[in-house]
Amino acid sequence: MEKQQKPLVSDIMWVEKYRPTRLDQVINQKEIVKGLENLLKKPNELPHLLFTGSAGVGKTTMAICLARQLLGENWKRDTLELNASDERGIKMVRERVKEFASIMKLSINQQADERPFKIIILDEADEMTSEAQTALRRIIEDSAKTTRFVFICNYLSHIIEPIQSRCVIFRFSKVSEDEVVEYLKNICKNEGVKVDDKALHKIYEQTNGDMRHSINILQAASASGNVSVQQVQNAIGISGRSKISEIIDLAIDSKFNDSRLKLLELLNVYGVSETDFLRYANEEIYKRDLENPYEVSTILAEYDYRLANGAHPEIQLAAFLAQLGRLNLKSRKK
Amino acid sequence: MMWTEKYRMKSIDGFFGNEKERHIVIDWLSHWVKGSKPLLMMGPPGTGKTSFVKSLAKYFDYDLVELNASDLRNKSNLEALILPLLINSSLFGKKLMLFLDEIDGISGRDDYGGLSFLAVVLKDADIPIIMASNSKNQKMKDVLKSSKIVTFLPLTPFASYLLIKYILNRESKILDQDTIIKIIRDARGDARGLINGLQMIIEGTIEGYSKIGSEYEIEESISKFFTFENINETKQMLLNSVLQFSTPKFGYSQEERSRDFLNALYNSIVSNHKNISDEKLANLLHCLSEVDLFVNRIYENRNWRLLKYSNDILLTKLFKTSRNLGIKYSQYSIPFPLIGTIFMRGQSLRPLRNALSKQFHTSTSTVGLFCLSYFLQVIKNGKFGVLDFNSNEDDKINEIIVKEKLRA
Ligand SMILES: Nc1ncnc2c1ncn2[C@@H]1O[C@H](COP(=O)(O)OP(=O)(O)O)[C@@H](O)[C@H]1O
Ligand SMILES: [Mg+2]
Repeated sequence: MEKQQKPLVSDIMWVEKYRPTRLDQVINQKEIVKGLENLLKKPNELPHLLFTGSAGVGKTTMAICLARQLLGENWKRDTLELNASDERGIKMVRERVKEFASIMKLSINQQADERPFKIIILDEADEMTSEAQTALRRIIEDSAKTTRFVFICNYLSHIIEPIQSRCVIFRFSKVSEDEVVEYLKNICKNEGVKVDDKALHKIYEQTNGDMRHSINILQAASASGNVSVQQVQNAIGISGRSKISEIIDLAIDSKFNDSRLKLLELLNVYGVSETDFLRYANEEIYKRDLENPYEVSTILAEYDYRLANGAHPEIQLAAFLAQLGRLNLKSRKK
Repeated sequence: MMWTEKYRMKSIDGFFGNEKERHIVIDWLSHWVKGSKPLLMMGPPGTGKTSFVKSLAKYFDYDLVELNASDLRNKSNLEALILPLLINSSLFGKKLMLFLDEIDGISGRDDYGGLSFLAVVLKDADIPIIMASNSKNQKMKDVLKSSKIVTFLPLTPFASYLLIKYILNRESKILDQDTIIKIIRDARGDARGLINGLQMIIEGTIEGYSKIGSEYEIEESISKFFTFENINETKQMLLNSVLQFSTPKFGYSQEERSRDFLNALYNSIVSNHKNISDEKLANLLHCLSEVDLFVNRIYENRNWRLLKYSNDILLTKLFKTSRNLGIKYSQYSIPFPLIGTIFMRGQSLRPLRNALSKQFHTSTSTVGLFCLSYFLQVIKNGKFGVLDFNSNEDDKINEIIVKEKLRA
């Protein structure tokens, strides 16, 4: 009964509140917007799409905009949004995708001209095993009459060639510092928040153009109604991402157990995946002033392999942290 | 071939356990006429429901049309699949029988009237319909009402015993009484578990049988592992211990977790980190990591024969380096007070993480990296009260948030 009074999370959180709903509202990515708008002119000829680029540059946003513009009001009903890093493997493909694709056939037959097709957005598709990707090939072909796929990935090379060749590929570029700052300023204006220019540049420095991260930092830092460099600094410190930096620092300092406990907190409380941990740990290694970062990175690569092929993730990652501790990196900085 | 396939029963009199129930099913089918109620077989996994229906169809010369939960999501799907069968059944020539497996799996939010449609169809079917289900739930009540229900029970110890004897016979193997009893106890009446357990023991260990003669407690075994002077003695001790190699990737019960050898070694080593030098610690963990790779490969390729080398590899790598370190057994990898703040808190936050992942259109891992803590901060700063997550777990999630707000 009181439902109307409950605030929606998507209205409270600025990342969602300010997520573009039409292609032309998306900043940067102008070429892609133009390309997609052209393709939309002939919806029946729309090819499968593959969006690739780093995190928080608008890939998922554009896929949703596209679905909305193509399918109209009922886009949600006719769009299947799947995140492969949460439902990886062959089972997910078989059950969810195949099923959705075949249900479509039924409804299409009934109303041949009302809706041209439905859309499957397969987000973070590079997290799928190659078996799962291979199984997808057939499904893409079998459902070609009714279904359009939008694949989204960070690393194009992790998508098997046969899928790449069935898609038109769009490479998303980084959002530039000026554009991020400008965008954040507009949000502040809208929200009645005073902001220091330096604070915005500080945000960019930290996020390197990841809009999701940028907007979240901005909002968390804005509690008092104005955003300063110090508040940005504090906000940054609370994220799961910055825990990884702390974990690596502790490990390098040979504080194995403190580092391990923080890692367990990251995995269990924050819910960060083991592979994401290693991915950002690798970034951290190159940010530090190490004598030989490649040596460390090679060790990391070895444990990444073991993580993928071993049975006990916790053992593998703890072994990795212990390896960092024994290198004595601290006394060997350049 | 996996033994669960190798020993899937093929003839209707080859089954062990639930004899009375199977007779009811046979009786029902032989007296079936148009207008008879459909049959619903209730019972836990591994009681032979699916295999039995298959052998039944063969015996009574029916063509079996089999659908399971993943084919049967919603009404339009069901209609498209089932109605043609019911209407045109006579056109197919041969007698048809419809088997709907795992109907308790037809549920969830995407199910637009699947089960209620089923209940209507069932009322007046032209062909025999058999359904199978592991459990009852509220959504099934119409189906339950219009069906004849036969409840299969877990295999009794006696039926389990007969099944084991049958397989041992076929394999020309013998097994001591204690081990047989242990397999029966572990499988808890699930024939599939029974057969898997048997295969593990017969193909996975050195002596073939008598592995679990005398059982040492886990704690005792681990302490001995770290204190024994003689490597052969240690090997012998391990053969008789309850410790085993397993992999969480293939599921992990509480009991398996505590018996998992690598996990027990890991927990004990890291809990004693204060007494171990950095160099040594890195070494020990590196060895565990290597054995973990080896064990997982065995599991992935189902090469259980190779499992017998794991102890040797482990001893070769770990025995010498781990003497005289005073390592004591520990059941967990973190000190007790932290279990609440890390494992339990992690568990309880899960619904919130999942809801945010839907709201923010991104993976739960990205939520953890770039959203969760900012979200909690924003909620703490503002005065929002109860929030709408557009999820059927809204109440639970709001409770979680209240708890999180109370944290310092
Ligand atoms: N190019 C962009 N223009 C405007 N907002 C953007 C852009 N890219 C990302 N965002 C903002 O960042 C958030 C995350 O964007 P998303 O499209 O989900 O990123 P990803 O590229 O990782 O899929 C969105 O909520 C949106 O508000
Ligand atoms: Mg995305």
